[in-house]
Amino acid sequence: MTTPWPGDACSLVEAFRRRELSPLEALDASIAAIESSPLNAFSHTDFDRARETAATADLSLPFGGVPFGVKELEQVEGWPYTEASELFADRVARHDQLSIRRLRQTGAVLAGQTTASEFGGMNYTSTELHGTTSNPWNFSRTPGGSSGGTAAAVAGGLLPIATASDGDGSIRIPAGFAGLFGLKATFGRIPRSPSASVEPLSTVLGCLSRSVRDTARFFDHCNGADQRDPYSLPAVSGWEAALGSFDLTGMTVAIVPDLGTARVRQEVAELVAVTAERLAQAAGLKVVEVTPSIPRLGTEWLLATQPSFVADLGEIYPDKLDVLSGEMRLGLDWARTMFTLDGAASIERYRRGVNTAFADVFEQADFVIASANPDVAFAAEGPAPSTIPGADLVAELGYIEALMNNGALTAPSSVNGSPAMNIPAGLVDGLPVGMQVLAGHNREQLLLDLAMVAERELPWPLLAPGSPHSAST
Amino acid sequence: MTIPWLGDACSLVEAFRRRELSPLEALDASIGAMEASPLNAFSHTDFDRARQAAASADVALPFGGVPFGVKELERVKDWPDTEASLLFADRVSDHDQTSVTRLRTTGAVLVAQTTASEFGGINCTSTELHGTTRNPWDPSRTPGGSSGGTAAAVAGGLLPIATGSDGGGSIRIPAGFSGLFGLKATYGRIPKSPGASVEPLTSVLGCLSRSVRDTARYFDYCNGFDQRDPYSLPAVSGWEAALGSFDLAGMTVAILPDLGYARVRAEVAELVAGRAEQLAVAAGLKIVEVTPALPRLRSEWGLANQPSFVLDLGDAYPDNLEALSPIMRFSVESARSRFTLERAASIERYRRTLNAAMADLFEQADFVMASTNPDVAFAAEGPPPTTIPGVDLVAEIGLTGAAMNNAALTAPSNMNGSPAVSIPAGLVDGLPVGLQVLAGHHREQLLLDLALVAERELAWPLVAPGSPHSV
Repeated sequence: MTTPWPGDACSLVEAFRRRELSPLEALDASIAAIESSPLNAFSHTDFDRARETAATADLSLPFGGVPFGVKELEQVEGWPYTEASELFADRVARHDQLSIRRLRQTGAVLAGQTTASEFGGMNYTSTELHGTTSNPWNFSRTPGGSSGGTAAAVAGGLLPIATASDGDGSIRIPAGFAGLFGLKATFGRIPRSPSASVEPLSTVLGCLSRSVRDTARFFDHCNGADQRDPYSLPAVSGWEAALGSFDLTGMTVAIVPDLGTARVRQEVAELVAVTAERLAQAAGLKVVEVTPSIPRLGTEWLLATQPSFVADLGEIYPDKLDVLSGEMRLGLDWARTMFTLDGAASIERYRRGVNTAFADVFEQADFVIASANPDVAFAAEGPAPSTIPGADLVAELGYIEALMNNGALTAPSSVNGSPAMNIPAGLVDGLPVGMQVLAGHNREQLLLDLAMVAERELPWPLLAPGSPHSAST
Repeated sequence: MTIPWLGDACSLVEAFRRRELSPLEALDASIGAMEASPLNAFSHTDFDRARQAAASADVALPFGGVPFGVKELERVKDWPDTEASLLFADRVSDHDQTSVTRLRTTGAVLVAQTTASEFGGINCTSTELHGTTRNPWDPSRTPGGSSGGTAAAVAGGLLPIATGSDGGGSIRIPAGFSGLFGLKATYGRIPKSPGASVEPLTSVLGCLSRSVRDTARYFDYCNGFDQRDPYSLPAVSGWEAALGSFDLAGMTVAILPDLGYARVRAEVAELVAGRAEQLAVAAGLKIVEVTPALPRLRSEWGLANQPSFVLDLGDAYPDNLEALSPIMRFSVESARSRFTLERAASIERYRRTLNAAMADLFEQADFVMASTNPDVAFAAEGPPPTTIPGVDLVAEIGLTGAAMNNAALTAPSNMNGSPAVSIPAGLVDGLPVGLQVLAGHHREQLLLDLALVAERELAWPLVAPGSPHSV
């Protein structure tokens, strides 16, 4: 085997069990591809220890011997723990976070750390610390962010699956830009222990995968309450076993490419709408008209994310912020002047408004289908766009809200805490477009079953064309 | 029947089913006692509609025909929705909140609204709007707060059960002061929909009851996710059916009357420690030593409540706050001058520290037993005490610390979101003392089973002596 496994993780485990290849062979193929890759998807590798683990992998385990990437914002004992920031360039994790401990129990082989945006704050992956990560569909474009390295590694054919997290789109945005499947689960599904933040009540852990069943298997083994994350939910079992068992026929779906609150490029909206209709038909869903009244994503959300960020900065705040990127510092400086009791009350007002709007929507439809992003992937180096083709969003909305349009499709589910997923929907300009499907709290398994229909009836390429690419070619 | 039912709600339903008395007879006995009561436990009554409901009650239902009180901070269609504040003296609710909708499906007869402190903000129940509510054990004392009217009504023999809510101790504090059973469940157990606030992530719904099984039955029918409260938890069933089925033997308990950091009157702490040991022995628990490191309750706790409070004030904020009581007005106005990004970050840090400390605690012990309150009930009119007998708390820990000591035993479970119960533990100065038992998230059913052991082995009086009293 000279190229890494191009299928999903579940099929790789099956190949191991059939002795068609060994975990060590699979890992070595991944290592070779990672080492020659032009994508800059990894911030740290641990090949020696990975080889030791692969050599003794127990193939009867769910992900026995599967090489996994871990997003660099997560804590793996002995690996860098930098938040993708020069601020913590030398920090090393002293422990595995709980999701990693659970992942190890599945037999996964942790091969390397995938790049992210600084503190997960942006929708592209280019940092002072690690440079720019590229999209395997087009190296000049971003794979998205904050889980950009994971998206590049999985879509770029380097690893079959890698972990991710999503606080306002960081799983769905890169899944959309890179043509992968990604589930942002209900808030609290996978504990963020041992040092879980409380605010802003939005971040969830997960993965990006090539197949629906890979994600189901990941959640089977990583979900379930832990007391070091007080908002984590009681365990739910049978994710993979139940795949395909839900009767979706007659359930309702609203097709709203702009979610009624964002600005989406025309061609993208059209592709999403057409694909959504095909999916609805294939699944037997009833299409209903719904007009969501989700409040526009604005400065309240920017404000909501800052207190926890300040707590994460520790002693560096407020006098030693020079090494933070301009974008992160801008948000912080702005919040410092705006954060009053009235400002805090405006966050509460925004959240209640979102929660009411979502409850209204889900009273009218079981699913809502929207675009995952306003447009296809933008320049790998950034900055995040402040417009879409054919419109001048800065003139229409003002600069900050034009920038916030990048998260306007994905952040509402994060604020509400309800689940949403990205399904590859096709191409515009030769680049992937993501179809986002939203559902009410605790309905992830319905989402996965709907994604199974898409996977069967509207299959997507598991890898970007020509992957894995090599820097020398 | 001339006096109200003095047993628990479950036994009343059984009496209905055996035709020993009718729901209407039981209701009329409660109404008679309520009208003659000196406790001022009710802010609104709805006797005519209650009589109609009782007359047609389906006694096959879980609480079929049982007269229920509802705390005035909850919303019942066409009942006042005042937050116990002059600010909203004339506001009427145009809907039932989800918990009330669910309660109606149990066959409960909603009789009246029980008094609370203004916006549920303090631990005694005395407001400009409704006057002072009194403790049936001693009318000069408070039944506690904020669910004070509920505690007075249930302990005072007026109604067998009534609803409560707890954002800093407002179920457990009055349960402790009035000798009742009260469960503060895991955060999100009963949805607060519609119109659920997000911050400050502490307040839960529940009830105060005379028996453990009443609370179990209440939770059976009121718990479970609703999408208008995004932080509500998936439904759990079988609360009552599972009572007594958990094997507690060998589980561990830490006995810490002061939770390792609050100031508790010595006689109260001694009584709680003695009771805790008796309960541990009776349940077969293993007593373990732990090193608690809960962070001191600080002003961040009060500050965290304010952003959501500002929204609840509506148009009155910021220029028309005169109608608020001085203590509530001070809290919002001082927050207005102090709230900054740094303060918000310090709330976050406090929560993280507290959550880590609680997790550490529950890694060392399945249960933690503490006092519910620093002392027995204080004066009915307030103010909340800043001292305990023999100790000048203001001198020792400052005015803020002394004031916060009133919630220091109960608020940590709210901030953490984990469950805790108050179990009657006996008397000091002839007044009830509450034994608080804390457990990790989602372990309410273990707490109920432990309370069941206490109910059996260390039985408490179901109502205050001589209840119901009449003026």
